[in-house]
Amino acid sequence: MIPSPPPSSDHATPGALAPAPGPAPADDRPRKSDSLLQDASAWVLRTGVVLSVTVMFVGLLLSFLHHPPTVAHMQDARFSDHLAAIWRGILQGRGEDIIDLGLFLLVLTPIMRVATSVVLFALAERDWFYTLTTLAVLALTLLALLFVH
Amino acid sequence: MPWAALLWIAKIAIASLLGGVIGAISGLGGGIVIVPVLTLFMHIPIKDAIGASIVSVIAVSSGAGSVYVRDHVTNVRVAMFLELSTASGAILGAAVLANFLNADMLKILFGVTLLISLLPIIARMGEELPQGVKSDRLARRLKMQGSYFDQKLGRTIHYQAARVPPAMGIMFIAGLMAGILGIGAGVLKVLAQEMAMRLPVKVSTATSNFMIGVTAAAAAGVYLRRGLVLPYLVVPVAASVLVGALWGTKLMERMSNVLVRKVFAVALGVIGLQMLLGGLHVRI
Repeated sequence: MIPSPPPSSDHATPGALAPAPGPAPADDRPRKSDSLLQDASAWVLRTGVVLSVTVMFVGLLLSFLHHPPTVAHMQDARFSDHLAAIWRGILQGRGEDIIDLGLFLLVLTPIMRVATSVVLFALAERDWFYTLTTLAVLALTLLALLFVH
Repeated sequence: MPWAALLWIAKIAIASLLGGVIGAISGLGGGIVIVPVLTLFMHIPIKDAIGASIVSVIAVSSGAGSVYVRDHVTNVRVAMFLELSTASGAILGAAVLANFLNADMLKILFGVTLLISLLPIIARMGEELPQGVKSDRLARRLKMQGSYFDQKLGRTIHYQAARVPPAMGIMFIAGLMAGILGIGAGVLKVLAQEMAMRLPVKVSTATSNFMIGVTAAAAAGVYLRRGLVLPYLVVPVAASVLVGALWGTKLMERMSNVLVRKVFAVALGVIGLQMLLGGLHVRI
């Protein structure tokens, strides 16, 4: 969902004033590694979007310079399923394959953010349950991208 | 110069830009607006529109995400645990269920989903800071409680979480919708976090945004490899929806007028009805 400023509620009392059930209050404090995790995530997201959109535009430009597509072709050309063929096209500077590379990078962007979270749950937090959970999410998304046909 | 081709790209880009702005101002997100815009106004077949939409949802989520992450509001634990169910739903929806639906059924399902998504705009659900929430056993064991610094209130907010199983159920449906219709299904995700788990609005919005990107990536992986994505359509759609969404969000910060949202809600209601009737082959 797109960020939208939620309405302010000035009358609210802090949740911290209510008796905290269960865990020690220390558990409620922001963890330093959480910050680190989120800074790394922000970098991954920004880099991924900028890089993939740039690659897509370069591909579009090359495609119009070398083999200008017709409207009918644009409404019909599909993401090539042969990753090896895309790679060969990229090496030859074929615009269409470079657009496909940009698409691939864009889909990888949130997946890389999940990967960042795996590393930080494992290394910074040593939280094995969430390391495994996040690894499972990573596996699901990679499975869809690389193996589902 | 291939003017016809450039004109086509320009038209798609302008339509997508408007879609992104409207998605941001209405709070519905890019995908659910862009699919009807492409099918109704640009006459793109709905399956191609869905393929382009699911990819642009990733762009919007990632673009907005880096802004959210800066504020450290996202609850990564909640996101990853719920994502187990959402990503599974998205893959099931995209890889299996989408095969059984023809264009008319997709239009009907889309129209109904769009109309239902408008309800939260008319009657606001969720509370900015839910009161009296007690973490239940499961949520505590999953360490889902957390805290963030609220810029507006100028203090750190500590919050609890509850009812994880119903949230997982809603999230699975949100995943199915994302996989079938190419949308972020943010309305359902926020519903699960605000109504079931009773997380504060800011936390659920930021956490949903993270999840939308991951869910869309799972679905988009299937769409890409199945040859359901048109690269020449995606470039103008994804780039323009992203710019439109960021622009719309900026506009929203200045005009907090509820009326504006309601006007867009009515317009989107008409569009949803048009999709529904189009699928049913009813002309009015």
